[in-house]
Amino acid sequence: MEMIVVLVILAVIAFWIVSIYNKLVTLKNRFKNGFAQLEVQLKRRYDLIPNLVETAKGYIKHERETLEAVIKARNQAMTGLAHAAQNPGNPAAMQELAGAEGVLGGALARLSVVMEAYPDLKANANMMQLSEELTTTENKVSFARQAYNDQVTEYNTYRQTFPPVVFAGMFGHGTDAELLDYEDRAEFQAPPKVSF
Amino acid sequence: MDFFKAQDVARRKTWQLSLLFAAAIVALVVITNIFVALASLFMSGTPGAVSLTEGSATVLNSIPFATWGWITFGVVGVVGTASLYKYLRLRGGGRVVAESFGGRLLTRDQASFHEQRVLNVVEEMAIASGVSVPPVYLLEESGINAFAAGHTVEDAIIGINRGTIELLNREELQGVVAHEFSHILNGDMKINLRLIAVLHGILFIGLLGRLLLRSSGNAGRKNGMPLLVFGLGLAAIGYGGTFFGNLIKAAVSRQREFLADAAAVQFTRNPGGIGAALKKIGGHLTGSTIDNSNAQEASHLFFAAVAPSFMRFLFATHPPLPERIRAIDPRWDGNYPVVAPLSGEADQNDVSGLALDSSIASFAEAANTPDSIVASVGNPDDGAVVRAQELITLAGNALTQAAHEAFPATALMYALLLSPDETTRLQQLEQIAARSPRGVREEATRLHDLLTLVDNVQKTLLLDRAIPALKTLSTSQYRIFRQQIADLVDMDHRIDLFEWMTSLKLIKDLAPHFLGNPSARVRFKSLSQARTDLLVLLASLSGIGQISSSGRHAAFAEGMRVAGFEPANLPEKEPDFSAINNAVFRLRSLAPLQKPKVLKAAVATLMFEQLLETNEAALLHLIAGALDCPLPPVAAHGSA
Repeated sequence: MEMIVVLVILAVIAFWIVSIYNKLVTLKNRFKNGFAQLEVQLKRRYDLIPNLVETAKGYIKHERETLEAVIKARNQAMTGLAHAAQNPGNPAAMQELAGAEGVLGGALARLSVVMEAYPDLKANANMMQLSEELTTTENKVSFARQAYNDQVTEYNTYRQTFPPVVFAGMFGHGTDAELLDYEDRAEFQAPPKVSF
Repeated sequence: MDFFKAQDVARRKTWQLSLLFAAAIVALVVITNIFVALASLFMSGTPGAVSLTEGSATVLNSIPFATWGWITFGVVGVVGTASLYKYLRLRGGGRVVAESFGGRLLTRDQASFHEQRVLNVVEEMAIASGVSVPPVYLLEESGINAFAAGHTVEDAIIGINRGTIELLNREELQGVVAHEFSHILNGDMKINLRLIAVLHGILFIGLLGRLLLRSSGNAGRKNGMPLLVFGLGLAAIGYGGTFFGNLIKAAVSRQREFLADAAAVQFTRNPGGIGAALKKIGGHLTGSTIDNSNAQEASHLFFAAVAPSFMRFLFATHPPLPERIRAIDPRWDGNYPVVAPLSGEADQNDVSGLALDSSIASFAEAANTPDSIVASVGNPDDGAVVRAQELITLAGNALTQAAHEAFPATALMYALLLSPDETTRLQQLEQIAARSPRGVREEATRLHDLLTLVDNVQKTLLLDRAIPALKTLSTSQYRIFRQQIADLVDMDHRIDLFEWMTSLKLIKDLAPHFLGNPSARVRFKSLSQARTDLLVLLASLSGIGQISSSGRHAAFAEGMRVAGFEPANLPEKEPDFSAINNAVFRLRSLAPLQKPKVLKAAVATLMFEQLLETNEAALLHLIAGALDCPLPPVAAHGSA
């Protein structure tokens, strides 16, 4: 009755492999869910930027190109996000988004510097509220990004450990998912705190 | 049924289930052995010359005794492995189940109108029942169906179909959600998950048989024959096992569905809601079907049947629709309403919590007694729902928003634990800034200012409502969060009982989600085994709202009397928090039927001066929650 012993051992191995497969799927779903959360925050941020630029336009007479650069970078980041959302973790898409985010961050930082020259703009109530919202959203973005990166790392680590690494390729989990990696820039210039 | 009795019954049902499982395995072993005997009889090729009985006796004797042992080992091993595998997988809790059905977690910030509405309905029902809000998963299925899964209240999730949230109106949705909450409150879910694991094991034998059948075709003539016979046998055995398994499943499940329907009517005091939902299933083209194949083995989890079942009376996991409708609405004419297929449009004007029938009087400030309060555990009525809606409406918009998103929700929880003392608070904020991501400190400061405007009942409510958002943290974010909570509590030297219980509840509600599911076991069958723990709890409660020392003594004595103990002296030293922690932890593992005594004693101590103040009501909510006794909102004296 060796056959039965073999059968039981086979069953144990089969379950073990199935559990590896299931865990891979679960971890992948988790980071995809994580990306969905991040997407919401990024979208919210992209929605704020046109308003910000619109308000700034009324004050900024020169350095128009700074404003245009912000809008352009924002539109590019939107495209990057759309690509990334279709396939979260895909290296090309994530790098595109990270690149666009980097450019947008730079453009916003320059705008912030330009705005220093316009005290009226910085004191504008609308502007103060917008930049406050932008800062808050920025914080939420970086929190959600951290969660996404944690989840991706968890997936990648599991995928690379010994028993799973043998089967991961077969199950269609052959490549690492990509982190969303860019310099976390200083927050957008918050409005000056009024002190008495 | 009374909540505590239901818990007790559910616990005993788990035993019954294990027995049934054992019986099923024994039956499978016996059947397999008989099959092997018959097979070798057949293969030994003794034709009609010998009479059957004589022949079989010879053949039986010719099979060595060890063979029976091996067969038994094989069957038990395979079924056991398969069940164990499923069991371990389901330990991940309700979310594993939802994910395996292809569910998507709904979050506030990306929700459409319908998604927002179902989140609101679930939130109301959770607060009305006194449990923290469960995460909601959406299944992209057009049928009208829903399910609840989990082991305990803490890891429970609600799953709901796209068809359900778009085709039902708010009242009907409320009926369906109330039905699912009754499963959560009655302890049905744990049995349901175990049932999945058990059935999976039995079903697996059949699958194995089918696999062997297929490979026997490829194995050539010489080896093929034994494989074929063996595979056929296994398939027959496996399907036989599944047959009995499904019988068990159907029998366990059907009764519960009637109970949950009745509970839904009781929770909402509105037979129209759930009745109309059931009728809509009848009138809907795809009814309540679910396409996902994983849903089949979990069919007993759902609100209504996931697939039309032939031989209804034997296998149906749910009672026939007309029967369920008639149980709620005896005057039903038997006609189903015509339900338009999913269009993605619906009336958009009932998103808020206020669409409930306004004829229901506002929650009256009923006279609270320890008995009435404890009787309401796990039994929210329409008053509780209305009160929950009132409380939600009262909650500040900014705080509510914070509770619904992961980042501000963590800050909100920190803010709840900030010290009223400014120096300590600044230290705490420093500490938050050192460890947390950018902006948390500012957010916590801002929310702390807002929190000074709300009472403790509102604070516990915010805690309950923040749970789904907090469950979206990554594991490493959760570790930091948990450490931060512990440190904040440590740093506050003037910590009070409310704050302590808040941190306790937070950890209790979140840990099972992130760290697997260490469900509380019953360790004490009688309250006298935990008398010292009760003493500690009551001693700490006696200080609430009692200024004079004699008042404290009297409140404590009253609590002990209600619990049925001889009068005892109030301990000299006020118990410290680690002692309270221990006491609560141990009281939690009391047998269900003992817990009402603890709660009654706690209420009696808190209400010694007749009135339940807002702070006391909030504390009571936290304590009941810590003891796994979901307490609907209590009308407190002086609460808004």
